[in-house]
Amino acid sequence: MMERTVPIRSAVGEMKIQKQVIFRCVAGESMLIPVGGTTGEYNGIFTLGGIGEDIWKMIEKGQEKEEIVTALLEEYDAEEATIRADVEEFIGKLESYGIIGH
Amino acid sequence: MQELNETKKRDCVTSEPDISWLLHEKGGRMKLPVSGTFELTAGCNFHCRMCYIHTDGDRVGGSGELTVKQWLEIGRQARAAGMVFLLLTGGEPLLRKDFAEIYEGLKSLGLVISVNTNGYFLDGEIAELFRRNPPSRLNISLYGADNETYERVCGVPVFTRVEENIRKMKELGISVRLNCSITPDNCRELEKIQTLISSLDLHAKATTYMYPPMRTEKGVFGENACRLNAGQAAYYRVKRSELHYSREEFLKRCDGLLKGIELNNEAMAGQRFDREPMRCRAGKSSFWINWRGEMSACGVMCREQISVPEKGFSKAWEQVYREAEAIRLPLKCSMCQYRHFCNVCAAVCYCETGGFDEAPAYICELSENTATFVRERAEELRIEQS
Repeated sequence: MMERTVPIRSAVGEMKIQKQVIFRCVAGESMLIPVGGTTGEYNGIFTLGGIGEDIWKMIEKGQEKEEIVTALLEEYDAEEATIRADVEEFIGKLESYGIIGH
Repeated sequence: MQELNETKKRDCVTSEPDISWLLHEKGGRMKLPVSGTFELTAGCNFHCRMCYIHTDGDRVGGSGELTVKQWLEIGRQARAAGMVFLLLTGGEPLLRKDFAEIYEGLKSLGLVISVNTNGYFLDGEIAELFRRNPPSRLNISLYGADNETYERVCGVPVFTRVEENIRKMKELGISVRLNCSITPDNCRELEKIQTLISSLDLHAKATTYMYPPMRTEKGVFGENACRLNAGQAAYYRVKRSELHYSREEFLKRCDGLLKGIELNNEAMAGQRFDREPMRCRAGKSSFWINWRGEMSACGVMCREQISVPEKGFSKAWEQVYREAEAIRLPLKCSMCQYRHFCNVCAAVCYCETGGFDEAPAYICELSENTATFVRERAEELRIEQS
């Protein structure tokens, strides 16, 4: 099981992780669990689908959106437009929850 | 995103979020301890007559209680083994002077933490702690709607303070569920309690069933001198349901219960039955560690307890899982027409009979009376309506 603690407000290229969350993978399910004060804002678990986990790992490493799209194109056999749309949708959701920001 | 506590009051069968259900389902098949309970102390500032854990001899800081370091180490091991959800309980866990250290240390591991409490200490430093770093949910025991009832049930007339603290937690935006134990000392106040719950606008669970206190020295299988008899327990169970739901919803539930009996009888006709395994998650995807650090499948079923500080979490869990897997419920329960609403479980069987071979008479009587009262009350209400 993969466990990683995300530092608070780490500068990650154009995207900064704004909230205290911890990535966990249990029983094959990937998720972000709010910790600390973030629990007050989000009393829940953010579940990540397959590609969501890949994207999140790259965000943690400080990769920017274009780098993420490029990496996923190498990983998955899919059209660029599809990959790009998935990445933008996922990042958009993280932004809407305030988990990442610019 | 899956909110863990999407709504405060839900009338559906379960208010459990999908992700929790999914993790427990998968975890159970993969033998993962997805959820656990840490019983931080047996000490309590209340003296509830029906309690199955605390006796007046139990004090916070007593010999055998685990230290902060020990609880955090167990938390780390449990998390590594797959634990996501953790309940902190007691006795009264907030009595521990080092509660904040244990709580914040465990929370930082990436766990979804709920806390059981009698509500007395939810002010001052604890309120500030929870404001800053809220639990996923606070389960606050509610024993009555006035100080006199609190004195009868718990020996301390502290309702006013508890109510104030419940409101304080609600104002802080913390998710609160009220847990009500209905006993001979507060059953006559049920309407008043329900009115209070409605005014607080909070989710509440009520139970009329009290386990025989087998974990205490006074425990005798099948006995709890401070609980309602089976007939009364059934009566107040149905009454509480009627007070909680709208008339339409209550009648729908009555019809559902009665239809379930009919369907069970049809489905079971001519069938061959075997004894069934445990129906709940205890020992399958959840565990309990008592204040001495001993693990069991369930906090009430204390027959096999394995020391986590001595054996390590994983070995203790493996043993608990194996023993729970081997348990079979009474044969009578496999072919019971009331199985869809009966309270029976392995823990109940053990506390009522000392084993798992006999169906517990108290529970059989409670279920039979529940069906009778539901039938009668539904008929009365329909006559009133027509």
